[in-house]
Amino acid sequence: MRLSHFKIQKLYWNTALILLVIGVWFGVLASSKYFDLDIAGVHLEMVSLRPIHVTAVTMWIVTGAISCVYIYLYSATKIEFSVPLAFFQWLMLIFALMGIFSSYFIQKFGGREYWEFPPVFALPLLGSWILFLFNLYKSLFKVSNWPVYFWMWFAGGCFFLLTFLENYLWIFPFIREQYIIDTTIQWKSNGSLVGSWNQLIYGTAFYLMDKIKGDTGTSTSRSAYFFYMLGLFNLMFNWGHHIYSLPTHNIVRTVGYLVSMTEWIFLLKILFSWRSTIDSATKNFHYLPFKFLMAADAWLLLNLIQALLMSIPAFNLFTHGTHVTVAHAMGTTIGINSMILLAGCSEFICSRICLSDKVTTMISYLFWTIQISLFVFVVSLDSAGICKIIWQYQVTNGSFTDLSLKLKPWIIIFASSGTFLAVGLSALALVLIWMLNSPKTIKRI
Amino acid sequence: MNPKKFLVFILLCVLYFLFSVWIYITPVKLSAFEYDRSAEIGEGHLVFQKYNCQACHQLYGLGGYLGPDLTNVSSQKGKSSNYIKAYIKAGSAKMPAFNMSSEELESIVRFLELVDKTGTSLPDNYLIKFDGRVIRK
Repeated sequence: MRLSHFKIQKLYWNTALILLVIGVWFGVLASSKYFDLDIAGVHLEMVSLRPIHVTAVTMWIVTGAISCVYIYLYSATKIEFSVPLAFFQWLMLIFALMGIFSSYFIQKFGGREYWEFPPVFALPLLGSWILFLFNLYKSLFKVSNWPVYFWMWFAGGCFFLLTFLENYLWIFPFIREQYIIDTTIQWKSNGSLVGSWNQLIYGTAFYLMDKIKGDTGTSTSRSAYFFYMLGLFNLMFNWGHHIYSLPTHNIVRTVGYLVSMTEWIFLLKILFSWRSTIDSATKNFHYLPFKFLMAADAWLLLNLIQALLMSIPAFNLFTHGTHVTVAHAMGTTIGINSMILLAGCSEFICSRICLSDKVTTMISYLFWTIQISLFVFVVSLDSAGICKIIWQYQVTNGSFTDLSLKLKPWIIIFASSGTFLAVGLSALALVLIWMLNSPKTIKRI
Repeated sequence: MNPKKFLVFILLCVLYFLFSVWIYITPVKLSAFEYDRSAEIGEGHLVFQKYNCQACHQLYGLGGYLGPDLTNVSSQKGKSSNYIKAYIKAGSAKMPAFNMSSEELESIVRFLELVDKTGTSLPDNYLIKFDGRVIRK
């Protein structure tokens, strides 16, 4: 079988969507542990369930971002990326994922939070990313005039590599033996790593906005470059809010606080451009991708307000370590990142086949199931967090069991809405997989 | 690639690099922490990672949510090192029993003792300033 660019793009999308389905259902299984349930005879402990869930959804975002870059880099530059290299990159990724998931199932850990697998599996992940960078930069450097999304892909790719390496500095005893510095570095790299994949994903959003509008005005405007630079600045220095309570250097807290306040500029920009964004909805024919991009826009606004409040140390002091943090993480990864990736995937499909009214209606129902359940999900987590903050002040020397009982009603709502969310997201992913692999999709290219 | 934009990118990278190196090499001074025992904290952290305690527990508010924050568990009333060891070995309704060796148990208890000495993450220990900053009491 000869691999074409289209087959590689499809291979990456299929992998990303399967990871999404695995991720959301292991999230449901993990939430069942709050009620001491073993759903469907699954006897895995939280120590395995949480990393499986986190790794699968993290890799859905990373693989989805790679898929988008491979599709839109090719359509933007018309420069062919190396298919064998992209395939070898995919093989390394699959090898790493198989090793990682197997180690979680047999409870062989050894890494840090979010990367709990034995560090040896970081090597194929690293190799896979280097191959991706080679393919990406090979095409980018052949183009002279870069729209903003090329800059974002360039910076996102480079900083993902740097922060991924930084994330493993703990393997050196010199770092590991200085607990506070070690923890500072861990959350510095985790924060910047998220910023790196955001650059890849937001770059895709810029490309899609251009494509939907039918001109390159959005991605070549001065404000687009300004916001890219501001995003990059935040990627580099806006991670301090993770560790305000850690007794690290004061300057780390001050820099984190000051840089995070530049996010107000993003908020004002979104508020001012909101109306014009709504107006353009009537002009476009890219129904599905536009719908997902609009959802991402709405979630961006909600999450940015929460992020800004959480970046103020006085607020962060109370919300840190509570479910408010989880609400923010879920809002950004599902509401923003996943919506942009789903926009990217649906644009890829819709540019090849014409969807029937029946399929469009079904996707529309799934879309609203996801949005409503995500809203309830986030609100229940925020409420659980607020409940914990109040409890901490009302009760001195209270037991964790008392707190768990107090939070139980919110955790029930969180787990129920999470199940609806999993149904919506996995059904949508399966519909997209079915459309990606439909003979009609192949015929049209 | 526009040279001006590339220059801004390089300048930001240089700043990022300098700030990162400064963080790596500048020691943090803590009054109650025993610096001659820092090798023990490194070893204990590896055990903490080996059994993935971070999936359910937090240190300084960072980690999982199923179990309690362990930052200051060692100095809590009634939570002696023997209590912690027994709890790890026996487990509870939500926590599985961990089959750790006696060296690993010792190591993790010492790790938690040393983390406890680095500080506390409870909000009561901070003063809130008018500009939104917080200062350790």
